Amino acid sequence: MKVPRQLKRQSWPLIELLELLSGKAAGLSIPAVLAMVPPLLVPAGVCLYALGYLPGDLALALFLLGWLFLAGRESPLRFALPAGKPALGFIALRSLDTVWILAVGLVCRLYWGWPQSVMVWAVAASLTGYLGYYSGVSLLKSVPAKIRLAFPEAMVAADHFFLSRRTVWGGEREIVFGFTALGLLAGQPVWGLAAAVAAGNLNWIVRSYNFWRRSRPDDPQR
Amino acid sequence: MKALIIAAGRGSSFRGKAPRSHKTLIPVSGLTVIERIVAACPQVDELVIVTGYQAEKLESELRKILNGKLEFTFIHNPDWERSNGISVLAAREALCKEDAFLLTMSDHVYEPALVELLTAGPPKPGEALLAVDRNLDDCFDLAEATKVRISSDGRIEKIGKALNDFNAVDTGVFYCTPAIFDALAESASGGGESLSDGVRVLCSKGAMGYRDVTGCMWQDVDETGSLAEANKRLWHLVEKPRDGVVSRLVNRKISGFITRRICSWGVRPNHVTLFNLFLSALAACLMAAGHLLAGGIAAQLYSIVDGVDGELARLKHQGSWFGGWLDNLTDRLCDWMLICGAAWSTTSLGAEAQTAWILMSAALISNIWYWTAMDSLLVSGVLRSNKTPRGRLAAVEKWFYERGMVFGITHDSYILILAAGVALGQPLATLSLLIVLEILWWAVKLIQAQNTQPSEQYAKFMAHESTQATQAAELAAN
Repeated sequence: MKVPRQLKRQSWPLIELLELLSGKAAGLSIPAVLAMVPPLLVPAGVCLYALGYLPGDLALALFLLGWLFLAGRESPLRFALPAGKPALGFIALRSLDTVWILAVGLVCRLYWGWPQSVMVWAVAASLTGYLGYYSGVSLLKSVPAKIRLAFPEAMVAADHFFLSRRTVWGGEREIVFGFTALGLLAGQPVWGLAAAVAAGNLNWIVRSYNFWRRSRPDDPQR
Repeated sequence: MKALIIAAGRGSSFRGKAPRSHKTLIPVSGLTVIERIVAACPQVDELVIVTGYQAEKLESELRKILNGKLEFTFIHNPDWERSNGISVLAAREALCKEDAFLLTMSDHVYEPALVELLTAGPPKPGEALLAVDRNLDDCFDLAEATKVRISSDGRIEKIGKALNDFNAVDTGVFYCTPAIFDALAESASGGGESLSDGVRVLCSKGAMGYRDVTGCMWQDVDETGSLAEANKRLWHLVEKPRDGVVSRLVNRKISGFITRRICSWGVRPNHVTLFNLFLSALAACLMAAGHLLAGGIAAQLYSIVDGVDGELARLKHQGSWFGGWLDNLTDRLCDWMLICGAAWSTTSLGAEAQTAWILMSAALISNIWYWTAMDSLLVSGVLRSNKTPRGRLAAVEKWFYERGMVFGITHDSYILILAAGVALGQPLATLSLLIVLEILWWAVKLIQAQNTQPSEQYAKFMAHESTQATQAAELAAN
């Protein structure tokens, strides 16, 4: 993806500001600085679009990429509440992921006049992203009660693992958001969404197939 | 652990009525008695089966059933027409070096919990344990049952069918040491050749203990009446203790009927799960094509059949982690298909395609939001067992809970509302209502969660979680 030079320029001061606010102006490594760039794509994309510097599809693509990295970071949305309360971060992340991809379809269809198929693919892509996540989560959900009760410590370890990674297979968000954004950047949202559906489903199907294949009791590789 | 199964008798009470040659091969709710015994004893890795009547035929049938499941050995008892103690004695050589082994009749079905209780601790050297049921009112045929008199110090004092002062019944499952063989040999030398005679010898020495398995399901299957009773009792085991209101009052009654009919076929639970995927796709297509009544009926049929896979899995011991995973996954896929079909059906009633897309998007988002929220409550479920919500809603929920029902926007009620609304020609209003209900119910549950007391174990877990998060943040900052 080619990031517009203007965006790069405008994002540097923001990084500077963030560094100042966090009190770590000195001693930041280059990778740490670079890691701060993607989250800034969201506000930057919105600002540039509002100022008329960016066409709508490009702004949407930047927004999606920004959201992908912003919401994928550890701190902003990770607040699993105590006392059996729902992990709001999880709910917000997964639901908003679905919202943004459906929004791409609705914007393309209702505002930019793309054919009906763009909405079909957008629905499929958003559900693909969620299904990729859910196919992993339901591994935890469907642990037989006997195993759950027999190995409580292993279950806690699995919960820790899941709470810190927030995904089991990994890659489902990156695939769906990446291909959708790529399609928008290339001016072909239908192809982008279709590729997201194909790659996203392939990802979770292959990973879950491998998981179940490896977890057979007669697997010689175990 | 080894298990000794006595399958030498003729099974005369079934003669002419049983569909198979031997009682242990009689199907009970889709599985033969021997398969049920194997499934109830996961601790057992080798079977020693004593055969007698029509031994070759029985052994050949058993080989087909047991091959690949566990190790097994056959011991032929040529004196099978004598009492069952002689059949037990025939296995002496095969089991005399074991510390302890299970001994069970070949015509009894029981649940795994019974064996778990019985084998919770090994019998002392030179002793044997018998699983006894103290609930005499629940005994199917008390006149025919082997009665026992148990003492308060954990011993069996008397055993026999003609016992008058009994306080428990014999379930037909023993946990023995090789001392049972000496006792049987001793009783046989005195003319007592039945297993009960051998047990009486152990009783006289104070070496016959018991494990109370009252409440566990067991039933001997030796005539048509007891076979029907066994089927009935197994079905009670299958019923889920908690269900959604619609499931409990409507769906389970029909799905149970279907499950009981198909359990003797070769259908596996995963086949039903995949069939459900087809059924919901059909319902969605019917709705999208404008056949609202047919689509609504098919959607409700899907909801009913959705219970069959679980029932079948529990009834035939075919539940698996993979099956649970597949069921969860297909549930979501089926719901989404129905939502899409219902949303698109609005176009057949004159709505614009744009309206249908917006409605579909909103319904999918609220559904995903809702189920992610509900699922997030399930993660760490092992720790969140001591929840004690308070308030009026909690009282309503408790009322339903005590009657085996879960109150709220559960999967079964969601599908019923959707199916009924579409069938009545109101998909737009129905989906809008469901969106509102899901959001409201989610908010209610969230507020309720604020008033929930966490279990101590869960609080510790979350404290550990936040400590780890703080440490990770500090590490990243440095």
